[in-house]
Amino acid sequence: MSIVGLQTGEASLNGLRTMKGVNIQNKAEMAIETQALTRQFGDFLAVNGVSLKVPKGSVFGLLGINGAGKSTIIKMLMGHLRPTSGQVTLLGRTLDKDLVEIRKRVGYVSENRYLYEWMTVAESVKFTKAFHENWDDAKAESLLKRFGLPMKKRIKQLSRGNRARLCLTLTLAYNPELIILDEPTSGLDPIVRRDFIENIVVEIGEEGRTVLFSSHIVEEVERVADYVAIINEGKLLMTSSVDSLKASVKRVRFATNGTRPDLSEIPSILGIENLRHEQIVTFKNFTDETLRLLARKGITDPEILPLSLEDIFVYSVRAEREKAVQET
Amino acid sequence: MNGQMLKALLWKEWRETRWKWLAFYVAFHIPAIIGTLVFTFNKWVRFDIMVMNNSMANQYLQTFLLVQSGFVITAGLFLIAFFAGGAVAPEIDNRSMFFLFERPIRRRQILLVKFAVGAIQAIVCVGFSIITTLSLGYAALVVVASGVTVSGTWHQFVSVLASGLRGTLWTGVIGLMVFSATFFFSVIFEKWWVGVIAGAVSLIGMFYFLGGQIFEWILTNVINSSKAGQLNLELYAKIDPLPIITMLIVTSAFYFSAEYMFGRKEMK
Repeated sequence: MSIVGLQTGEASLNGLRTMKGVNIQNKAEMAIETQALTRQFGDFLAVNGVSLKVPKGSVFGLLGINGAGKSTIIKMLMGHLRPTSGQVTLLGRTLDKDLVEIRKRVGYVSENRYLYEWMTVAESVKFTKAFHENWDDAKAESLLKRFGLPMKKRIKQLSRGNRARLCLTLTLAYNPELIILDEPTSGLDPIVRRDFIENIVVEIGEEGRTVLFSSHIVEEVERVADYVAIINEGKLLMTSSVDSLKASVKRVRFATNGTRPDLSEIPSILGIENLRHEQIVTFKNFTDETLRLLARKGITDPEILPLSLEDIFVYSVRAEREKAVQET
Repeated sequence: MNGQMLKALLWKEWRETRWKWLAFYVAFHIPAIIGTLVFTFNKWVRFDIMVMNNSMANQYLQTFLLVQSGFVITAGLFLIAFFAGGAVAPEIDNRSMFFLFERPIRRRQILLVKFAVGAIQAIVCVGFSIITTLSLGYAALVVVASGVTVSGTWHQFVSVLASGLRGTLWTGVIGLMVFSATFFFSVIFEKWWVGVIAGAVSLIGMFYFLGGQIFEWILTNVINSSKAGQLNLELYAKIDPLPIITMLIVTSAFYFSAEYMFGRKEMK
């Protein structure tokens, strides 16, 4: 299988750039914007030139396998890690100048749900409230009631699910404009996970807040995200709205009749599978122009196969890996 | 940082450290308590409190002050290093510090509250333990010794207590310096015990280079100027601004270094 034309960055934002009336190119409409964000740990390049644009009011899924660099990106967004190079803008402000202002308006739930173990649920609510001027008592109370959190229990006695719910309550109660969730369903059982994703994240999105969440579970992202970015080995492989991604990434199958056409001139090929009597080509950005170019190569009646987000994820990651192998 | 945030941070620090520092404070009194009990109940000890009278009270209180000061500037400082090692590192190690880092508050404000609470506790422990042990010792003397009356010894107690306040100033400043050094190590090293070891090593270094002077500032002058059987507290912990200011400058340097490191610390 040969690989052609995979790029990091904003390359795949072409085509359908608008979604929910938000123009991805309009800086003022971006909740998060990163430019060539890079982070190196010694010799290890954890994040490699990632340029992301998260439109305001969207639910944005950061998709990648474990160790892909999602958490590192999020930690840089939150100012817990300094980028080796590149820039981060959250809600139009930069971290180095407006960190306090950003933290007033941004909520973050980390994968490990860091809390003070010795506090009771009631104490942690009271403690967190002290830091946020926008704290909404009614909302906090309603969330606590909805989640059935035991107010007198110490946090160290809570289950993982309840810890996640408490973290979310503490984050949502001050009404942040942007909510960043790092692997929010990690370690949760399927029922809690589904409740978390389908009810909570969707609800937050419907309130008009921006949600960025990372996950390695494609199904989760596909279910709730308006936009997705696929990360692999620190690189941004694709970023687009989920619908436009599905519309632009296609697999095309055609018979080869013994001779395989030279497809090197056709742009945006993710991968080619050579079977015995046919070829299957995956295109990152399949358009009418691609069809015309295929016809010029004698491929006049290709079968266009639909791809799920999982297929797109798997093919793009696989293609990237094979490209890396070829390069080495 | 507004008042509510400050109150919340102080509450958290207090709740996290109250038992530790209470244990610490009690530990500072243990030698004095043991000494008092031995003097009171052990018939074979020459220094028997029970048979004392008003004229001997002064000598007893002065000895009490010197013994407690000696304890505080040796073992007490190691205790400070031990406890200050846990001021910041455990919260970074177990990542609970993330919780504060995500709040709209500057790191230097978080650190300042931690330092202030810890420093006050350290000063209270090393400094005020001199006053409290002296008071406890005096109370024991009045209660136990049949020949000692409050009216007959009060002025002696007040006079020794006044000297004790000078000792409190000295040991408080030295304790603050030791606290700030170990606090700095606690910020640098994520494992609290590494900070404790670093603090203890630097303390040994301090004793090696300054030990003689530290004892001289507080104790040695008393012993050298004393005549046989009579202590002279006039030179006890005599206020000398230069070393005190120097130690406060060193303390500030450690604190601001800790603040710088804390500000740059990454949470991986």
